Amino acid sequence: MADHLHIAPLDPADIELVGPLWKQLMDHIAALPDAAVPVRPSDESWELERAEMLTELAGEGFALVASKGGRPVGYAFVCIEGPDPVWYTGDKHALLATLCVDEEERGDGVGSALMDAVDAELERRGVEDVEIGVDTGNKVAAHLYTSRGYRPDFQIFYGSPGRMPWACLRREAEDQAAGRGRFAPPGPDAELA
Amino acid sequence: MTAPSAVTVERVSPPGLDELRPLWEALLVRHAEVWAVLPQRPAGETWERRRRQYEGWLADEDSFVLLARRDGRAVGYILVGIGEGDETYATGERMAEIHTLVVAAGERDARVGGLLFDAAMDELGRLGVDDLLVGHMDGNEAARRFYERRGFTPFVHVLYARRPGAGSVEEAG
Repeated sequence: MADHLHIAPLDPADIELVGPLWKQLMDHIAALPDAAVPVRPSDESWELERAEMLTELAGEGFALVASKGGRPVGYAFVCIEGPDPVWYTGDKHALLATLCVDEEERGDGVGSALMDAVDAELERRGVEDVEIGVDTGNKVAAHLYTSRGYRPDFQIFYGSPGRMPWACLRREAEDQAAGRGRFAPPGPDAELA
Repeated sequence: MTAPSAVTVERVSPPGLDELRPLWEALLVRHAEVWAVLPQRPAGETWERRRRQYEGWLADEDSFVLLARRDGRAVGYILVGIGEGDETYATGERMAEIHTLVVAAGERDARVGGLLFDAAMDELGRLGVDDLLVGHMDGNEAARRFYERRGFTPFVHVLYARRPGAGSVEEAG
């Protein structure tokens, strides 16, 4: 267990606290060895993710932030959904949408501590069933979850209707050619980001 | 020997969804064969819940269901939902997801699945939707081969667990 780790619910008013961690996660996914589908530029992605989080946090979703010395070092974001139509889940089931740990803090038990805190919150709410999406190639994350009893459920595939290369690869190539998005040159504030 | 009759594909509107029920229930049998981590709900209960999901997805006017018929008999369907683009991956502003593709047991070697898939791709082309997701149960190798042959690749693996300390799956429901 990481020392001096404090875990508390995220106040939606403080959502910008976790933005830098989300952007780190995007960079991590983009660099995964078997990454086949390109991710969005992290700033663009955070705009969309922030809106999604605020919508869920206004409902039954919750986020927990792990901090050391007042500095956020990781967070978990959980959505609560209704019963699965096919399988015998409870009346509600959880989707762990994000589990993110600062790259300098990985391997120090922060992810496990966040998972323990998520389990405790779900127990308090009476939610028993949990699903987690793991990006292909993220073997460290997959190991964490399988070591906690998670089992393969289903695979999500990506493709483009009738067109190759895939639309997402075309967009990435266009960004690269234009030097924008993920391929934009560093700006004057880059060192401060 | 009589040549097999042609398969036709038509669009289904929400009031006609109940015609899909026997095919949906046939798919549940297949699901139970490949993924037995949790028990399934009773078939009738499952259809009621699934139909409500279908109605929700079809509330978007671009989402659609295509039904394949042979000699007037329903032999397969595909339901495609259209929604907002993904937060993480570089999709367009709108993307599609195949929520169900099912073919009647006696028709699985008759290219009905490919016919439905191709018709759905034509419709997505008309709508200008370039990104498509589809999920299949772990262990459904026929489904995996079907999508890989069409250029799809796995990029997210969904895992499931009953939370530590919760009741066993045998106690569920």
